[in-house]
Amino acid sequence: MVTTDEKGPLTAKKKSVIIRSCDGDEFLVSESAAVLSTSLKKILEEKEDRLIHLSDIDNKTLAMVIAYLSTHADDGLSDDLKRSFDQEFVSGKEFDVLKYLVLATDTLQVTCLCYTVAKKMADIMKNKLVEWVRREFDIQNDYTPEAEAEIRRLDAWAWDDRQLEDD
Amino acid sequence: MVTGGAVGRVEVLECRILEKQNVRSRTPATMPESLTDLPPNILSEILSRLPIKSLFVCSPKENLYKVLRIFATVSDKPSQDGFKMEYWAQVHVVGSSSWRDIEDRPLSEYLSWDKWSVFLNGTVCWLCKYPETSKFVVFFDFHEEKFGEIPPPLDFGLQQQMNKHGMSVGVLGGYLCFSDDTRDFDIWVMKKFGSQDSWTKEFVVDTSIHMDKPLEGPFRPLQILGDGKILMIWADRVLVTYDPKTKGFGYLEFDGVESLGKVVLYTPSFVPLKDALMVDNLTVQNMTSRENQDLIED
Repeated sequence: MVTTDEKGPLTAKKKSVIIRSCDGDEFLVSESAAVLSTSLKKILEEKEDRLIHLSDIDNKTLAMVIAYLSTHADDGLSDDLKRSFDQEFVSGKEFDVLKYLVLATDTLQVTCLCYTVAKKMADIMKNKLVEWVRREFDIQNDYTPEAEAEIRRLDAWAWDDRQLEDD
Repeated sequence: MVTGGAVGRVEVLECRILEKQNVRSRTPATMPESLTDLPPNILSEILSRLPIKSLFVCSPKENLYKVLRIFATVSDKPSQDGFKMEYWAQVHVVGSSSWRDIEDRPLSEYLSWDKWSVFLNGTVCWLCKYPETSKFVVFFDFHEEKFGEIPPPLDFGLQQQMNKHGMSVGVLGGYLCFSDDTRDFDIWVMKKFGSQDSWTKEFVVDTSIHMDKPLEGPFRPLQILGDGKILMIWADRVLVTYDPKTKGFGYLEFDGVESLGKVVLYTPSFVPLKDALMVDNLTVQNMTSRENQDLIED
């Protein structure tokens, strides 16, 4: 990852920034990792100060995002390794954790991680019963029983050819 | 935190907690409680990764009713641009008991297939949306069970290719057409289906006379009326007529109808709509609308 500062890529690579979470924890991050986030990159281009305060990301989420950014900024790792890192990164995480993570990736504009997390969230929902999704994700059922029965009748083709899980 | 060889290594290397200041585990005030509280862009990002099912019904020449469905599966290789999607298609003949894979694959994933595909000559046609710039209109032929593409007019520039989100396909006078508002507002008509040379700029619609400010927002051509006026939907909300001779617009509003998200032309028939559809609890309302001309023509 080469920064916009073309004059000294070597020194730029070693530069670090400090990112502070909303609950006050501070993280030392290499600039090459930080600029993988489009938002952080913009901030760094604009201000001299090397301390960035993020008012809506908590320390746990921020630590995860930084681990992701640092891994992807590491030129020493092969693409295959990064890919398996991505899979490991989201596996086994609670849905709530993923929710915070996906919001953070949106704020920080880390598109690649946003896709990875969104995919994981979709995978969790995939082939689940509607009732399961409602229960797990606290979604209010705003259909009347009649309207819901009608939709199920009209879209019967969408239900009949697969086994839905309720685990 | 995260486990795994690669992670552990990087963690030690670069992300080190320097100091702790505030009270722990204070979560930001804006955290969503439910899945549906997530911002719409994220929500659609998640939902678009669920397996897609979509379908069309068509009755081609052989008097069979066929249903096409298109699947997307995500292949497990994330790249810089996200995930690679693979697209498949199946056909079901109404009356049979199964879906059958077809050999052909959909030509593009950027099909505006939800609302504004059009049926013509036993095909269903979609406009390929931006960022797909290599293809213009894509169709599926229900008789041949093959996908095909229709190139844009010959003098179509990059600027127009980039503006495809403002365009819309339709059928006018039995021909495939599309509206293009890149510079002016033109309606192109394809006189011979599949022949690139036959694209003709049939109508140039003058949108400039509306209160000193041109009318903006997608126009979807629906039909040419008997008196030569063109019936269109403007901005998914209002039914408008445009008279190419007087350059006048007419608005057709329906009381109580706020969105015209889905509009289908009705072909008059001796069979009442209610009987033809064969569904229960159908409400048919015949609406008469006041044509409100004075907004445009003073």
